[in-house]
Amino acid sequence: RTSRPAHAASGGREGWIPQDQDTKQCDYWRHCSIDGNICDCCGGSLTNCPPGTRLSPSSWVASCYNPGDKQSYLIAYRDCCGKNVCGRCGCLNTEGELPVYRPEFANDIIWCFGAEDDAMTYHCTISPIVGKAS
Amino acid sequence: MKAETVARGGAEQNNWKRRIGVIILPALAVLTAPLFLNVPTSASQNVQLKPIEQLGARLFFDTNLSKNRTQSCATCHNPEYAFTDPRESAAGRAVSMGDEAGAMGDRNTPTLMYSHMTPPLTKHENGKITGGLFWDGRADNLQEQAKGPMLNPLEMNMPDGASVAERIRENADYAVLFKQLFGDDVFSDPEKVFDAAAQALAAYQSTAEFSPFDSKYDRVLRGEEKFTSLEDFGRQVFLTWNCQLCHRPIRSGGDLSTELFTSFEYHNIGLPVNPKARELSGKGSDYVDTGLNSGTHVADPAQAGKFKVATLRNVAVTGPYMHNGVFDKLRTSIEFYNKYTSLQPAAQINPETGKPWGDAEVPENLSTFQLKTGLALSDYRIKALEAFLRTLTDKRYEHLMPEMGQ
Repeated sequence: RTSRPAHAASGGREGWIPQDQDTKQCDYWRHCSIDGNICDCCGGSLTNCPPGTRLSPSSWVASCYNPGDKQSYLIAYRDCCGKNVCGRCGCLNTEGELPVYRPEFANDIIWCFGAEDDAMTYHCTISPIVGKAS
Repeated sequence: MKAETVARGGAEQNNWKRRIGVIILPALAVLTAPLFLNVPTSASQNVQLKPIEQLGARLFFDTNLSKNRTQSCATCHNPEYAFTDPRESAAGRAVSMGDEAGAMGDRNTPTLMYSHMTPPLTKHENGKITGGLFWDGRADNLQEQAKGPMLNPLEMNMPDGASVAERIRENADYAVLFKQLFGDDVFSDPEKVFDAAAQALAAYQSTAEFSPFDSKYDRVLRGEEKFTSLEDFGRQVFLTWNCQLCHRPIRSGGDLSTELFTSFEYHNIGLPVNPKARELSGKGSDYVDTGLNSGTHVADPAQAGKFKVATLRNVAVTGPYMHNGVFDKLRTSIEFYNKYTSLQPAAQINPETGKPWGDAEVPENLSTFQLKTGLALSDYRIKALEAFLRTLTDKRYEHLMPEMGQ
């Protein structure tokens, strides 16, 4: 992504060791394919955008392993848009990430398509569960 | 057409009756035998029903609960067709024919599968409305809902609850059962009988027969089967495109193994009128179906044109689609959403008619945030979505699935 800092905070495909205690840390299990900033650190939460930002209806998806219950879940990451990049809790993880020609799994894209007021500026990312991984 | 339909309905009922021995025999051991003969229930589900559920099943299939004794709940909610209406009228299967000759509804008969898991109509602080039964949410629960069709002049056409009670009273078996289940004085008040009947119907529709969770999707999540690559891609598209914003598989705090693929919210997706169905309904060309705002339960112009997000379970076998049955094919229903995102001229054409989709019946209150994601679905993604949605078909209905794209 061009408008967000790429912090390779917890490495990539090698050595990903997720934890289920601290949602603000880059190694929190739901952030296994996040690219950008964790909204929880930016006035939002794990699943809600910070005030004043616009939730994008589009998303990318990853299958993340939850060490708590030892199950894998699908996380559909969604960007909160319309304000300058948050700057806190920068994080880049790439578990299961695929190139942009497989956009459903590509986290380099600014996934602000369709955000209200055509807000295409990236602020932060939320990590909601949308299903069980098959 | 109507006479044929009635005859076919009768044949189906007899068919049910022939099958019931398998299901009912265990129950006969503990219940008064003569009361439970002829209780129709699904042959494909080896479910033992409690007495109130068995009573509900009997009522569900009983044509005496319609004015001219021509139709039961099961006539329109046929269990062989995922509890939807397989009968063809002049408007195809878009809307259902009522008990009175010529009577036609104006909305498509929805499936009853999984409907007992619908939460009551709730108005949230943020103005959002969720839950409720019927396309416009006017009934809070199945018990309340069950009364609607019996008294609807365009459906079973009974004049009032007392008349329904009278029909129930005619049946000696019912009389004994109602007293057993609802007290000896149940017949002292016709409304009590009507309420009790609705309660029994709701109990039947809340049995496991209506929510088996045995679709391929469920089997895959349980590790019993694998998605094809197309189905798997379809699921990814479903979860990353805007589908999941409304047909959200996860209810807040919900159980991941009982996903219903609806948020139970209300949305106006800008559907056109179904001209043939509207004409047959006799409501006139000036009539506007304002959905959530069409009854007294919600009086708010901001809700006009919104309809409940339907469950997508069994969607592949419950066409035609949308609240007015305007699209015959599942694929068309998916393509419709491209109207809002694709700049291609073809995306403005309904492939079933070859003409533009048509103006929204209610142009206000469109869910533009959800609809205008900025991304159009490619043909391959449309195929993948269809393939994924087909995996939401319960096992007993898989044989009904048409070919892809049909």
